[in-house]
Amino acid sequence: MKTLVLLTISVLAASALWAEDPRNDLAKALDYGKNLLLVRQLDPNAEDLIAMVNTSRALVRLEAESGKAYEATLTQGQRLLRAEKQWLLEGITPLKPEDEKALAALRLDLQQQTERKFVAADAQLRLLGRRLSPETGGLVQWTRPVDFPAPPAEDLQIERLRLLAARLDQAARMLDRIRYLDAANYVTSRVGRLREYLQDHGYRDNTRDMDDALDFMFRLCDEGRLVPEDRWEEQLPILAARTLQYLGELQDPETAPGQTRPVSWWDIYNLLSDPQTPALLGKLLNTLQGAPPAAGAGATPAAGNQ
Amino acid sequence: MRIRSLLLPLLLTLLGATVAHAAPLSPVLQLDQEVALARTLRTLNLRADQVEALEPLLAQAQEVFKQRDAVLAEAWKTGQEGIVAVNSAWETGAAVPADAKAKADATAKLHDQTMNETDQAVRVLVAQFLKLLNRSQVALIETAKERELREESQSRYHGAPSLADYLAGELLLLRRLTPDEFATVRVAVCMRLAMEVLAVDAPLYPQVVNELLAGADNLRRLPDAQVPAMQAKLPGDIAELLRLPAPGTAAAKVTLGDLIDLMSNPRSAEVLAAYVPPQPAENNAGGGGQ
Repeated sequence: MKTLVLLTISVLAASALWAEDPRNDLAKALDYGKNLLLVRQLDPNAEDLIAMVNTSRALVRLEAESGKAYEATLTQGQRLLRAEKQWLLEGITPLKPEDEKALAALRLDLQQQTERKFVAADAQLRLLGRRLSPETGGLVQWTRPVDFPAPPAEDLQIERLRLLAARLDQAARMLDRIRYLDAANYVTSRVGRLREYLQDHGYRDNTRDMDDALDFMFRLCDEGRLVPEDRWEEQLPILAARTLQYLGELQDPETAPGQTRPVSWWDIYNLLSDPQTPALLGKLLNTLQGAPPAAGAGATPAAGNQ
Repeated sequence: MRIRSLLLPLLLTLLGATVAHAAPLSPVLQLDQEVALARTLRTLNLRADQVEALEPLLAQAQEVFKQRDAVLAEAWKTGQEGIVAVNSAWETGAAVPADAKAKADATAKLHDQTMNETDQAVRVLVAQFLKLLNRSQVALIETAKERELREESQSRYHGAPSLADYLAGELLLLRRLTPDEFATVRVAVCMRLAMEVLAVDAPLYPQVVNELLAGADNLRRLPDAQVPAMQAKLPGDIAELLRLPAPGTAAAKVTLGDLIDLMSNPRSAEVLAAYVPPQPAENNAGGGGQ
């Protein structure tokens, strides 16, 4: 109960940060209903709901703080904005080169702030993804969407290159072993090795895809056998890369079409960054735990639900 | 263009705030909006007669929003009870009362319909505005195809402004790998990057892979001190080598979003009134002159 009271207080504190919700009352109430349906679709247990409330509070705070920071940056650049406006309206005296440079820097700064906000939100959501029960978490697409408004962090890109290196190593080891099989084994045991490798990469036996992939790999292995010994070291990475290219594993996982889950990254982001959501989740938690709904702890007055 | 597209959602949210809720914007956010509106006017270099013809369209747009707000306010008055009852039932998992559900559904439908109609009405006004423009002004507006390509390139190339910038960034990233890691992935990464330029079965595909490999190897050998200079010139070099569109050369165009903002923003009329159209002799310099 103490936890719930604390939860309610912090929920209200988080809502207060977002004093000016730009939506009208009807839009807020309708969004509240849509969000309720989405949470019900996720079917969270009490622990899931507590984790979601925490994430939602963090995202609401992040939105409010980044909005303030955005405005503060604009305020710092007010003189430049006025000069730009005057130039655009009058169209006579162009901006001084140093002002143009400073304006470009200001716009870049604002863009990077927006990017940082989404990167921080993504980190919060990934953390939540690890905390939720598999039943609830499994419904959500936690990977960044293709239209994620920030480039991936360099460290994340390096991590992906290392994963790619590991997959290439695995393919190269397999091709290398098959190349050096003696003639009898080349005919017999390569099939089993290739089949096993392809099964590891999601191919199922007795399917057309498996047959096609085996055909491709047979041709690749035959090609490998014909490479002169002194050129093998140079050719092996190419054959390994062609293997992954055929399997569709060369592409960046964020831009490659992949498995999709019912609730998208944007769905969960929009749900949890809505200033009404901490209160909404608090109410669902009360219901789940059998406590009477806390008066006044609901959504924004005059909208949502009171 | 990239900055604008990132800021657009924020701008639209703020715009929504002004239009739908009349929540006052801070002076600096207003100023930022006014700069964006003024940029649209100046990019199109509107003539005096076009400014005059735009004024009543802006007034009509504000009327559309006024009507929308009135409909929504009335819808909230009549539908509030039903929506709150449905939301309460959903909160507790109780059965939804049929009459409340009917009221809530009708209100939600009216809301969506009103929003769609408003959107359509604004688009009709934008279309009327486009009719005022001459061919060279229309050429300054992003086409649907261009927008599609821009959006695709932004999502596909991690927000890099061009394919050449994307390729340059990916090749430079390889410098951060250990020698063993680099040796393992260099071919695969260049094959993947070449797939962004050409189809795998295109006759020139192997050549592009080789060009990228040579680039990756050269960058790998580059002393750290020379990297910043190379970073600046690499996209241009790649574009030239692979005959890609030169990075950063496309002129910033007015987007559909810019035009919708111009038509929707309650401050547009004020900005338009302060806008000084080009003198007749200047008309040919920008979009003017029919």
